[in-house]
Amino acid sequence: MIEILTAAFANFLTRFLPFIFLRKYANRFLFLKDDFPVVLLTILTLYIIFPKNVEFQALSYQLIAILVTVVLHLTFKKALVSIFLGSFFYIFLLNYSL
Amino acid sequence: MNFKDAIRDTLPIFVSYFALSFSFGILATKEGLNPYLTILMSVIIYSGALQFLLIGIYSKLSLIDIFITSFLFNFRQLFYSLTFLDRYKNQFYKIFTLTDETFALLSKRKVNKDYEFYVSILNHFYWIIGTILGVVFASYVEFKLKGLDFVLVSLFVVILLENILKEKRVFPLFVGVFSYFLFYFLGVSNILIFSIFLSFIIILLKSKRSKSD
Repeated sequence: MIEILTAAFANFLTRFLPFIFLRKYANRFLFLKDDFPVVLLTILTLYIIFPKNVEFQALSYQLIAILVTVVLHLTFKKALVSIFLGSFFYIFLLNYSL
Repeated sequence: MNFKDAIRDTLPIFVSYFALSFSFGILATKEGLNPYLTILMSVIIYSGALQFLLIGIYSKLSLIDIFITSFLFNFRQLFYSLTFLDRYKNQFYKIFTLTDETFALLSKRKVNKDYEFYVSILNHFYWIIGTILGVVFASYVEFKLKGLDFVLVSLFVVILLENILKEKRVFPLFVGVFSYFLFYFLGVSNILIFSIFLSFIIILLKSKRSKSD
């Protein structure tokens, strides 16, 4: 519960800070706008697929499924299609392959 | 007529919000999160990727780490609010519901208080309803499929890819990969915070340099 409230508060701040502080103040962080979202997503994705103890099989399935997701997205450019077909592909590999 | 317009314009958002929040409800329930807590998350956090991320990290990280990660993760929302600073003065609920999709839709429209409110509440509503149905589905339908949590990875990969295609730069991708693996191979216990902090410094230094050029 407290974890959820903490995250909610942090998220809340990202939406309300510009209204609490002055525009000038928030503008100082503009340099993060272009690069930071990509950096964070990269780190978080790696955090999920490269945990402390990597299992080779799980990792190889994940990398294949990521490749499938990327190819799907470059082909169709439909976020939902890429996300769900990519996930189904991974689930399929994990549950039904030898 | 504003309400009808809002319903019509949010239809594509309905499809993607429903699909994602439904998956979120299922995944959170299957990972053992309390159903009410799961629904509460969709009400008071209302941020898709962050909620998916929280399923994975909330039991592993300390409160301060959860705070920092959540704040930085959704840092981009600061710029949405910044853009709507004058437009949304003292409109608490609309500020709170300013998600990527809501922002994208409203930033293309003229100022219209009622229309903005309907769009905001409809999108929030789709998100909550999808979550509730996902939770209910997962609680009553027995199924065992390993790997459902991969939705988070493919979701991140797609957002990442869209960002890279839009900005046409891979520099931030390399910064992320470098920072992560540096601390990964150093065997640091809190890779997440260390690598986020390092990449923050790198981006800061780079922006200082390009300014002085």
